[in-house]
Amino acid sequence: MDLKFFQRAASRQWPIVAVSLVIGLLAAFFIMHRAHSYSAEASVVLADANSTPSQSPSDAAHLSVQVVDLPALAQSTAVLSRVAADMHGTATVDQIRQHLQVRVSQGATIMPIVYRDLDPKTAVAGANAVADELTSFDREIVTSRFDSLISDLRRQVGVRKVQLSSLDNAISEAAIDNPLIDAKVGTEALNARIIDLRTKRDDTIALMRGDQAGATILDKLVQDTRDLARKENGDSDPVYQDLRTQYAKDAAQLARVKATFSGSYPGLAELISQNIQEHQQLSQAQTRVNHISPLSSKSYADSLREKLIADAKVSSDKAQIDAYNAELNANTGNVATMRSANTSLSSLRRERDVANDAYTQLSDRLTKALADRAQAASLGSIAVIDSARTAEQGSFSTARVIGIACFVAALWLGLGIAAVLELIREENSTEKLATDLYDAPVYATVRG
Amino acid sequence: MSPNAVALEALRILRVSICAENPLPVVFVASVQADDGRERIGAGLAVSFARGGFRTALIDGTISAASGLAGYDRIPESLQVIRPPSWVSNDLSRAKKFISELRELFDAVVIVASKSPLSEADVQFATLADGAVVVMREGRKVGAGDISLSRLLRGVQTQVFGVVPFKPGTLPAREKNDALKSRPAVVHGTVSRA
Repeated sequence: MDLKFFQRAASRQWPIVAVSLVIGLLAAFFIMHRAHSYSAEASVVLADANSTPSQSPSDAAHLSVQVVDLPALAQSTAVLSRVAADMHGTATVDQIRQHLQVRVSQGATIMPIVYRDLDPKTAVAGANAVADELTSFDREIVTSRFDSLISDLRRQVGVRKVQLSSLDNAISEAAIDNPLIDAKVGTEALNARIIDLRTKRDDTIALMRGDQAGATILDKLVQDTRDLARKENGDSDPVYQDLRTQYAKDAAQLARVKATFSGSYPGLAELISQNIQEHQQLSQAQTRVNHISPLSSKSYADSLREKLIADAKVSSDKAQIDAYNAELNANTGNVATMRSANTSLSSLRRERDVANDAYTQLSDRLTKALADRAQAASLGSIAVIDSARTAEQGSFSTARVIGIACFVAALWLGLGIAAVLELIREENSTEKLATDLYDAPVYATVRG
Repeated sequence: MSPNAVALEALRILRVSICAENPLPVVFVASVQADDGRERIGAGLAVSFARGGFRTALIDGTISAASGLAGYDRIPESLQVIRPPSWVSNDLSRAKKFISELRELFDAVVIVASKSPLSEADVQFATLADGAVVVMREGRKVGAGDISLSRLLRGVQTQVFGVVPFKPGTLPAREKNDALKSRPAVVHGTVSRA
């Protein structure tokens, strides 16, 4: 492997060498270009990843941005688009990303942000813009997560408020439908009244039964007095008395005749006929006497008056009992209605208590979330501790040496690759195979 | 330098290397495939011998005896194209006699194989030659035909002087070669001086 071999390899594998030379030139140009550029550095301090703005692990444990994610966050399009806006569109997001260098060491708490540009002012502005926007964005991430929680809690509190209002309306409507429902003693008063009415009704029933017994006795007395009054009327009628006396005499004579004499006794038929006639007369007189009002009798009138008084008492007792029963029925219905209404009302009140408890808990969580958000916004996970003020230019002489070294290295790399490829090609070439096969040299190609 | 000149220079190098071992050589030119260019290389080698002062015989078994010489503007007088007699393929002793006569009459003999793969007459010529030149068309990969040819040449104990890659298409068309038409006639069956 001599110089001619390398010449042959370079001429035959010239695309490889050319590409290597271009790469070397680009690398050298890039390095020297960077040496011409200015770099500005801003620093942000990183909060302890384990510290959170809230003591509640359920709400805030996940809210802080991990430190290892900050470089990626700093180079994200979301942050860099804001940086581009801050820089008034002098650079695109991709250009800013190329000019930006953000790295954080393991366990370090300070993260440098380096921005390179040909203009020193732009480099300073870029580094500061990235630091500011990164801090702002990080704070937004923390607070936005609280905002989401707060928004959700507010929504739930609103729902609970509507539920409480609905329950209050339902309770009020239930109270309006039955005025006694709202009074806690309503049921007790009704129950007491029912008991009282029942007692009075029972007393009245007992009194009525006594009055009924008295009325019955008086009725019997009236019956008895009426017979006596009729007898008195007959006794006091002289015609009737005469007829009865005469009839009695004639009847006694007829009986005596019938007993003493046979049927052939003269005058018997006449006696019988007379007796019948007298009996008829007596019956007529009896009928007439019977038609005389017993009220003419004072005792009958007195007993009859007493009986009427007793009947009136019984009627009064019955009416009073009916009144008691009516009132009892009404009160019993009211009690039943109140029981049903009280049942639904109790259910409504229980629901309201539950809703009130939930509302209270949500309100407490909302208050806590608001406090946490305020705390997180005030603390944040990162903060700018050192803004870039000046930009430094890279060392051109060193860059030139490095650039030339890169060029030479690329050239050697290209030649090396070309030599390897040439070796491989020769090893597998037709000439080599033909030489081995025929055991003879392969001459130069004859064209013709 | 024209392509023709380059080709001649390459063939001259080949001729010199052959003559280093065999001052009056009988060279058998063979190839694996028909289009490898053995006629062109054989003719060019014969021209090279002739231009080097050799009385040269070009034994061409193909139908167009002078096809390999097409494109050469100037063909030396010392070059003769000879068509081999038909009985050569059947009689080895006659073939030997034929070659012996050629050795007596010419300083260098270039025998171009008539077929690819080799015919029976070609094998006899290869056996009687001092060595062989294998022609390969440039770009063609070494294949099974090459292996067969190398085995055959080893079998008849014919030394291979060298392998010549050939790239066709740079020389003038064959029809323009008028020089050969004025050459002495080829004697069939026997060899006579031109």
